[in-house]
Amino acid sequence: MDIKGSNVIKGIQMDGLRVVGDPQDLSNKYFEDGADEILFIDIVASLYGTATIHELVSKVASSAFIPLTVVGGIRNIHDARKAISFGADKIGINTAAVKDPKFIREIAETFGSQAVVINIEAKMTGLDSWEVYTESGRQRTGIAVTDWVKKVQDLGAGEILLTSVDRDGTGKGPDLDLAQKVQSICSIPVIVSGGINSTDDCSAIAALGLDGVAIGRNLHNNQLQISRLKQELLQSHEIRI
Amino acid sequence: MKKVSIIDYQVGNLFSVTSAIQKIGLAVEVVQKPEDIKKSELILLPGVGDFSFASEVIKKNGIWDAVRQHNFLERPIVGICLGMQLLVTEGFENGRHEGFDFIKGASVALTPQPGISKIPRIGWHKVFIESDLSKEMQLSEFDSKYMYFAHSFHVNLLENVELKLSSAHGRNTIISGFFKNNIAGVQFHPEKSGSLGINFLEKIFNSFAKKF
Repeated sequence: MDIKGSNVIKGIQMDGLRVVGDPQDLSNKYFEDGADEILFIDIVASLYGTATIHELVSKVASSAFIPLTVVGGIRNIHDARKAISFGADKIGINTAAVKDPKFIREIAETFGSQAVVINIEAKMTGLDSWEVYTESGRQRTGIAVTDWVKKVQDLGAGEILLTSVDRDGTGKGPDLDLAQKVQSICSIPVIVSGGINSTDDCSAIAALGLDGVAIGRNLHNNQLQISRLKQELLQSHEIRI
Repeated sequence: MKKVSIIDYQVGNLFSVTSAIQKIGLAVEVVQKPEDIKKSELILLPGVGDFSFASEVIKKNGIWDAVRQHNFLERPIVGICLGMQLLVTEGFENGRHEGFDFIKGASVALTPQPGISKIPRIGWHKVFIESDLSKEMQLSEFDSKYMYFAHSFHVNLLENVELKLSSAHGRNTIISGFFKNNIAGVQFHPEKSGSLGINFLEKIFNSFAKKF
């Protein structure tokens, strides 16, 4: 089970981030506190099509020696190459992949499957069904999450970042039904994101056999601390300390 | 030894490994031309990409032969992940491809174990010192420690080596590192394995610096 610190960069929330700290400082803090990976989720880029966080990633890459993943704003192979040249180890795509699924294969063949993370934003549509959304949970696609999960695996995706649109930013606990559903049809690593609130949430996700959790809001507001989470999880799970 | 020469196969992230080496306090250069390697002290074959693509790039630009020459002179070579796989006899990613054959072995696909472990094998796993006949490498502090892996292929060794590291993939044990004479290969990414990974890399460099 990996614990990933998620740095969400939102233009509109830059003010909010100033209150909790500078993204570079936060990243280093999470690294030193034991984060297994850092995700840079560029929502501005995802909405406006321009990646703005390359410089930040480079700075973090020179002091935090853990995997760094850039999510958002990757529209084509050129964007992917650029993100990687600035220090990203993996790139996360959603909108671009939904628009042209062959893009997944293209990146996988160029950089290797392990560099390709598919960010699936899932919104509940029924008791046992979820729909894929793009553009930070604003745009529906009509695609069933279960169909999409199977498709991206076939196209060479390395990992799935599974974000619950319903729970993201709420701190109200993850969508375990969604996580379980995806786990049952997935043979590549799955990282659960959205609403993670406690050690119990992480433990429940680990118990379902999923591979990692991504936490944003509740790390930034200090409700959760990576080192403490890991110590608590260590009692019943294999975890890197 | 003062400088590490990283071979550029034109895919993947050289930023992290460059930063890691600089953090250790050594100079780094990225090489793309064979003549640049003639003066190299230690060559590093970095970690991301595809076996067939990488080997084709460096065969085409003459670096392949320059690396062979470097090994012939028994100068140190360190391979990370894909770089480690290139050190052995052959690789089977997208067809059969020739490796450097500095160590007898083959890079083959990880065995799928549905419901037990996932492929690509991405994440943190413990590494174990499986055997250590070396006199120089002092790696006991890294036994049972977590390192970061991101791979779909692994190496089967077909010769004895001085030091062997292993790791668990589901129910199987796979090689996660080997050392013999001037050659070192690790399946994991020490440059992405936190401070522990940086220390590991430093140990390898120091060991080679003393020996060569």
